[in-house]
Formats: sequence, structure tokens, C-alpha cells
Amino acid sequence: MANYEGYEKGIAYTFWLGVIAYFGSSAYRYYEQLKSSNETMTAVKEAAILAWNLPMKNLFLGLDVFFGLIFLYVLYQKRDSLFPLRLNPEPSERFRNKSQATPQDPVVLKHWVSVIRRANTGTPENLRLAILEADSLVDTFLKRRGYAGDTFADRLKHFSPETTRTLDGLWSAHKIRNHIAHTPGFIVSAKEAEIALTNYKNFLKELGAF
Amino acid sequence: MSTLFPELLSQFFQIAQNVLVNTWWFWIFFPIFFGARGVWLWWRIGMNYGKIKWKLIELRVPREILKSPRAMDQILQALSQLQRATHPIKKKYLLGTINPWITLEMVSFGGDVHFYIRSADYQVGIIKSSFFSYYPDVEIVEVSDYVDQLPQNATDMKIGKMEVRCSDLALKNSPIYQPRTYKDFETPDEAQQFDPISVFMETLASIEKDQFIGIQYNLSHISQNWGRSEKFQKEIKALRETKYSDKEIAIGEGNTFSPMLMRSPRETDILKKVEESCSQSAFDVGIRVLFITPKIKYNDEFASKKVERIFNQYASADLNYFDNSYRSTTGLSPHRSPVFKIRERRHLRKTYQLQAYKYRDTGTSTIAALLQSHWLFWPFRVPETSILTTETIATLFHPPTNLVLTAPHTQRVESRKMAAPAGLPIYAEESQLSRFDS
Repeated sequence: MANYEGYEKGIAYTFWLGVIAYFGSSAYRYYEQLKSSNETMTAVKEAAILAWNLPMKNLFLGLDVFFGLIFLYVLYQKRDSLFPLRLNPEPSERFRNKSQATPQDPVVLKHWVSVIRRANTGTPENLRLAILEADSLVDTFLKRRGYAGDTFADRLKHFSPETTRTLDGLWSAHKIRNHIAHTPGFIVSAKEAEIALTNYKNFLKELGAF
Repeated sequence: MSTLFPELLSQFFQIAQNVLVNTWWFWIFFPIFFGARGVWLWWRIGMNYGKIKWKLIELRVPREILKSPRAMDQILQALSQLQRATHPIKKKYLLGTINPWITLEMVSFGGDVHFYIRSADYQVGIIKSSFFSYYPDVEIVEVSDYVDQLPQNATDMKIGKMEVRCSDLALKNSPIYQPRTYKDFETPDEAQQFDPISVFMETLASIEKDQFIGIQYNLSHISQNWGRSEKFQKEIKALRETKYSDKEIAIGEGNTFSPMLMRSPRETDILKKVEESCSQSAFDVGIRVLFITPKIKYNDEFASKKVERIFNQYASADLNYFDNSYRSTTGLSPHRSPVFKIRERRHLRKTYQLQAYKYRDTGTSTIAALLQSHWLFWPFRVPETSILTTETIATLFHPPTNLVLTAPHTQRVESRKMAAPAGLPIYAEESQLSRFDS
């Protein structure tokens, strides 16, 4: 922060000169009262003590209270930003989504194993069934996680390619699944099936299903 | 003897007690007053800070810059005249007026180096025009701020499996001694010319794709007469004084004589440099170095030695050098006291420094620091700043000259964008215009 001296110094000098003048004038007033009944030196001493204990005390007590109130008022105004440092602060917007994906789902892993077993037999019929099953497994997993939406596509709208790297792969796998479900006589090759299943697996892995 | 001492002590305590009872209202005035003034300013300045519209502009450097850092020096000279160091009481205490500080940044996103300047929106035009007058080929673009993409606190880093190291760097000797500057690297002989910013460029470019380095220079305005202040003048006076030998030579009749020591060439040099730097304009500069990396790739050697020590290429043992400030670095050493709750303290400092980097923090008053502390981290006088002359800042931050190999590290401007030349007959007479039609 830049230095702010200069203007303040003048005010401080004026203030202390004023205080000294106030002390001197009130001491002089007491001295006028006391000098008839006392020696000069005792009168001066007594007057100084009186001036210190009465007008000066009142002045400074007043200032103490005034600035104390200002202090408390500002603390009240800034109450939300006092002591902001925490050992475990809340994660920021960008990282909050990632932290939600931590709990694992043992059911998903169990079903995934059966999907892979089916695909490993290698017959075209089983490959098709494995892809259909993997797709519904992902769908079920998303439902269990609480992603709202009527269809699979609606549920996927909660993700974006920037935050979820494997989203594009999942979409291409889902397209193959739609072909299997809706195109009569669609034959899926072993290579295509492998790519699709890997895409499903990567998506589940990124979301922390297993 | 045995009874005298306790008696004296009790008497002393009695007097002290008497004085305190009669004068407490006087002494308590000082902490209350300075506390109230501190929080008041913290509050007002905080409100004003929220109203400033900050802009981030990027310098896109061309393929070749033939200008030496001297041009950057001139730009900083011009920028140092932008603000006054002090404000009238009314503006300061009611409106919370502060000088919006200028931040110069060298940032590397996974090896891609960028040069940024952040300032208040009304200063952008002045910065642009002063850059164009010295570097006509540099392109200046307004960009959106990248700091929101960085992790914001320690929890973010835990989730993203990242590690961070952030330190504030400051000069360790008195600022009248400035570290070596570009003038020390300038020679008429072409083979001996260097641009020391090449070391920065190479280090920034050497990181991997998912790593990040940001170097931040926060420039706050200080008085033009900083070098003429009493404290610094005293130091210069001590340098100027003639020194005498310890040896005393007898010259008869009981008189002795200490021979005068000639100033060595280096001492003369230093005095020359000190006087020169005290005559220049300067800023109060906080340097912050932030290094973010995936946790598995974190290498403390690289983070502390390479990234933070690039500044020491400007070091000179008898002048000055940069070092990180232990008050605020996240690299707490387990070999340096207090060795106590190091993990937690590092955690707090990471959060603090990431926020400080985001807001380009230049520090607050002591009372505000106290109210923003944690029992394990007290950010008093954090960040540590140092007075740097425009010459030094220009050495630390300037568009790399043609001596630096920038090709693999940074995106450059390949062609110049210019306005139409002046004096085109667009507002000419009808008869004149028609001649260009045909």
C-alpha cells in the first residue's frame, strides 16, 4: 500500500498542541483558585494534578469511548470477513463437481464384470447384448447418483466435455447402442464393440464408479 | 542486603501501580485510536476496491524487438507519474480512495508463455498509448482474467490432486542498493550482449502441459522523493564519508595520526550506482511466484531452486539480491523453527497465497491482518515488498528482445495491424474524391 503520510502529520500536530493548550489553560484556572491559600510551588503542583485528573481524564475517556465505538461499529460492518482462513475450506465452484464423484458403487462393478464376461464369449449376439447391458448399467448408475432427467440423454446434459473428458466417447458408444436397438439387422463388429465398451468403462471410471 | 532488594521491588511495583491507576485512560487511547483508524480504513478501502473495474491486457510480442529494456524503463517512468502517493483526508477516509496498483505478469500455461498487465479500466488507455509509443509492433489485447481457472484454496488442490508452491520475493538489503540491471548486460560488443529475461523464458517454457507458473509484480505508487528520505540519505552519507585506518602513527610530541583510506574502485562504483538509483522514480513492488503442478510431478528442487532462484541472476553480493520471504512462503522448512504443525500451516498458507495471487494482494494494515489471521498463521506485513527503481523493474519485466529465442515459447504477432495512414482524402472536396474513383 502506498504511504499516506503528510496530511495526517499536520492533524496530529494540531491535536497534540490543542491537548497541551487545554491542559495548560485548565491548570491555570485551578492555579488562580489555589494561589490565595497556598505557596506558589504547591499551588502549581496541585493545579497540575487537578487538571490532569479532571478535564484531561474526561477528555481522554471521551476519546476512548468514541474511537472504541467506531472500532466496534466497523467490526460489526465487517463481521462476514473476519477470520476467513480455514484449515479445510469449502471447495470452489469448479472443483465441487469433482468432489461429488468420490463414493464408489460396488453394484456397478459386479454388473460390469458380468458384462465383460458376456462380451468375452465373442459371438455377435453376445456382443450386442453386452453393449445394451453396459448402456443400461451406465444409465442406472446415473440414476442412483441422482442426476435428474427423463431419458438417458437428459441425464447426460448435466455433464460438459470441458469437465468430463470421456463424455464424447460415451456419446459415440451410445450411438452404437441406439443403432443396435433401433436398426433392424445391424451387425456390430468385434472391434466396434471393444471401442464402445472401453468408452463406457472410461466414463464410469472418471465418475468414480470403480 | 537480603531485605533491601524485595523492598525496592515492592516499592517499584507500588509506584508503577499508582501511575497505571491514574493514567490508564491516557495510555489506552493509543491502541484504541490506531485500532479504530486501521479497521476504518480497511473497511472504506475494501468498499472502494470492490468498485474498481479491473482489466487484464495481454502483450503479444512480435517476431523481433530491437529495442533494449530501456524502452520499458521509459514506459514505467511514465506510469509512475500516473498517481499521487498521498490523498486528501476527505477522499481517503470517506471514500477510501487508493491508487489502483498495476500488476505486471509473466505467466506460463504448460509452457505457453504470456505477458499480462492488470490495471484499473481508466488506466488501460494510458498504458496502451505508452506501450505503442515505445514498442509500435507490440499488439495489446484485452483478455478475460485467467485466475478463476486456478484452484482457489487448499481443498481444491486436494480434490484436483495438485500441489502448489507460492512465495513472495523481496530485496534483502536496503533498497538504495538495487540489484544488477539491464545496463550491466549491455555492451557495444555484439557477442557479449545478453537479455537476461531469456532465463525466465526458458524456465517458464520448460514446464509440462498440466503445470502452471505465474510471476506477478504488483507495483504500488510511492513518493517521487523516496531517495531523498532521511533514512536513505543517512545511509548514503555513511557511504560518502572518508574512512580512516585503524593504525595510528606517532608523529612526535605524543600526537598520533590515522592515515586516510582511499576509496577502492568498487566502492566508488557502488556509491555511483546508489546515487544513480536514488535519483530514479520507483515503485513499491511485491513479487509473487506461483507454481502449480499435479502432485505426482511435484519436485521441490525445481519449485524452490529453479523457479524462485531465477531472480538471483541479478544478484550481486555487495549490492542486493532477492530472496523469498519466510513469513509467507508455502515452502515451510521442517528444519527451521518453529517446527510445529507444519502440515496445517502449509495448508493455511496455500489457501492464503492462492487468494492473494487471485486478488493481486499488496498487503493490508496490521490490524486488518490481525483480524484476518488464523491461530497458526498471522499475515503481518505480508507480502513483503521492496522499493525497486523503474530500471530494475524494466530488467525484470520487458517484452523479450531479439537476443531471446522466443519462437518455441510464445505466440507472436506475425503481422502488424495499423490504422489507415493519416491524411487520406476522406473529408476532401467532392471534385478531389472523384479523381480516386476512376
